[in-house]
Amino acid sequence: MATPAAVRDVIGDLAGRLRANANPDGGWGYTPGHRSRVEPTSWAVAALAAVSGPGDGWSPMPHLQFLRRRQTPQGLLADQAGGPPNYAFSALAAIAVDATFPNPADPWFRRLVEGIVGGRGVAFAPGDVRDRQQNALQAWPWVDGCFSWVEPTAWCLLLLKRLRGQNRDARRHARVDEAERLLVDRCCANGGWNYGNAAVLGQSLEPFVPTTAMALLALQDRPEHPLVRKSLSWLEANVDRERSGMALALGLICAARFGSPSGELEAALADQFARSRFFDQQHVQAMALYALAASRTGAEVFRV
Amino acid sequence: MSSGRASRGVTRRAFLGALPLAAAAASCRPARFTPGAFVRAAHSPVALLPAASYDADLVDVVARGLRMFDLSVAGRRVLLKPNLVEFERGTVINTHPAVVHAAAVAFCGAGAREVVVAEGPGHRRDTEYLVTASGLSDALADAGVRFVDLNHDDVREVNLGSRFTGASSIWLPETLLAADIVVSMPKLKTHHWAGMTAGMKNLFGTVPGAVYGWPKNVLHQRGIDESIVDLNATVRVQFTIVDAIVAMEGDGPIRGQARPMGFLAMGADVVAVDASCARIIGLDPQKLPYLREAGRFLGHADEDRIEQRGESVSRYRTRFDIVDHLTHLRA
Repeated sequence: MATPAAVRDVIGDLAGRLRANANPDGGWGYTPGHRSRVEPTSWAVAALAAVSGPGDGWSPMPHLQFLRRRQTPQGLLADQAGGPPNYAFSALAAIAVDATFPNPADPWFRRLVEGIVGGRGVAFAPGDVRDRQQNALQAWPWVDGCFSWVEPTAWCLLLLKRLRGQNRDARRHARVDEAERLLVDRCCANGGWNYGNAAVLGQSLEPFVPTTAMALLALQDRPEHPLVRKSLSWLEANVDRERSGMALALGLICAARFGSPSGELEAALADQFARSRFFDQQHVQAMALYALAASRTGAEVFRV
Repeated sequence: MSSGRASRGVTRRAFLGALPLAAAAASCRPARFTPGAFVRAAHSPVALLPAASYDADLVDVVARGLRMFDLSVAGRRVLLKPNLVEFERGTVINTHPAVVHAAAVAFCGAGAREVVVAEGPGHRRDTEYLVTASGLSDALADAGVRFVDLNHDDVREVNLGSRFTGASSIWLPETLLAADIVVSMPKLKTHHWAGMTAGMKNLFGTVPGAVYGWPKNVLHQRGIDESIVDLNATVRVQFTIVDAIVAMEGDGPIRGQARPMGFLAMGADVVAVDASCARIIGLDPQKLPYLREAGRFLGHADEDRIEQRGESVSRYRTRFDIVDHLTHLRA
């Protein structure tokens, strides 16, 4: 079990790696030496902002500029020019930027948020009656023209809840309401969420740790909802069953937001880094850095 | 995945029933493939090689299989694409790590310049967990080859090789596009939307999740059968090794039951390999829309165009359980 000193060493190691592996364009790839992408850059901005202080030489500006350059005409961010904009990572970028360097009046940020508010997954007629899934609910897809799924819905919902204090228009309220209903609808039988189907053809499907943590973060302001309570219990019982940097980091962030015990998770995450280096995945290294650096202060980036 | 029930809003039965009309209308729309762009031999060999269990000498089985085909491996970059969609202990969802290990060793032994194992899991994006928990990580370490996560690889937009979905292009991983030889290595399973998943359907895992999401719903929205054909017309699989040592029947690809079959199926024509697998599990290849369409230009699905090597189809023929709404696919 990693000691507090070992956890601090991992924080230093992860921060050093991320700083060293930023691409010249200001972004981070999914692994070192690869093209910059929105998701790892968003996580890295949040993580390095959490561990950096005045005088240590780190500036967010080149990284924020990278995100700004990824904006498409509809306001969303896309990894590649001409590529499909991605709702999940656009929302994640907006969360990271708003939490670390807020400027709600910035036209770039406003277009980004409006692009997210304007998007929705496709609706379907009712599916197999055994599944009781409400296919007419429309939250957020990964990309336009697709069904709504848990991860993009969770990040987009969390973003709109973060921004409620700035904008309370009815359209956003309706989107929040429908997204919450979709997450409730897609909750697995024993709590928790997978990618977004609780059952198919009458067979219950199992939840996953990362998507459960994301959905719970988006529903953190509903702590008394029976499905939130059940899902939090499921997460606490299973978070270290899926041994990976992603599962442990998101589980730790979730624990911080719900006030659950986190000491063992910190140690497990540090141990996992020693074991696998998270397969050199930079979005996971950044998730873990943020989780380790911010969990004891409430993981404020993900507060709604 | 529930949203995959329909093919662009049309049920599979309706899709099948509408085919005569579709044929009549075909003259009014652009061709869905360019015949001259696809070269087929007169016949396609398919090998069925016994392998009683995952403890068998699978390196020997795969190496013998490779020698049955005129596949030039020496000095080339080989990408092995297993089926690793999700992990649940005690299930047979994925290509067994022992088969992937055997293929890696066999291709290295055949003189490949580089062998990588690459997959973009379709449901779980937590690759570290999936690769480790499934046992694939240990198998690859033992074989001395690396894993490439196709979900998070660098990507490039490429033109589709056919137009069954109506789309003109797709973003695909650079590692996949750079490979000299792509080997599809599926688990043989029934599939509750596509009917069967084998070498052709396995290419869904090449579509990058970081671009299109988890699951790869864009492929369902464009039509599952149509997407299978377009992907196979674009990513040209040079060799297929089907893990049918223990297959899955019933409500596959996730919730089905294990069905011990005891063989590996191999071949250079993925359509022919899949057609043989369909016949083995009691499905009619001509009733599987993607296989029938692919059999018109990508490879051979007709039995009289397939040259069976090793064991016969009849040795392994087994009527797999299949979900009720797909019983019309039976032979």
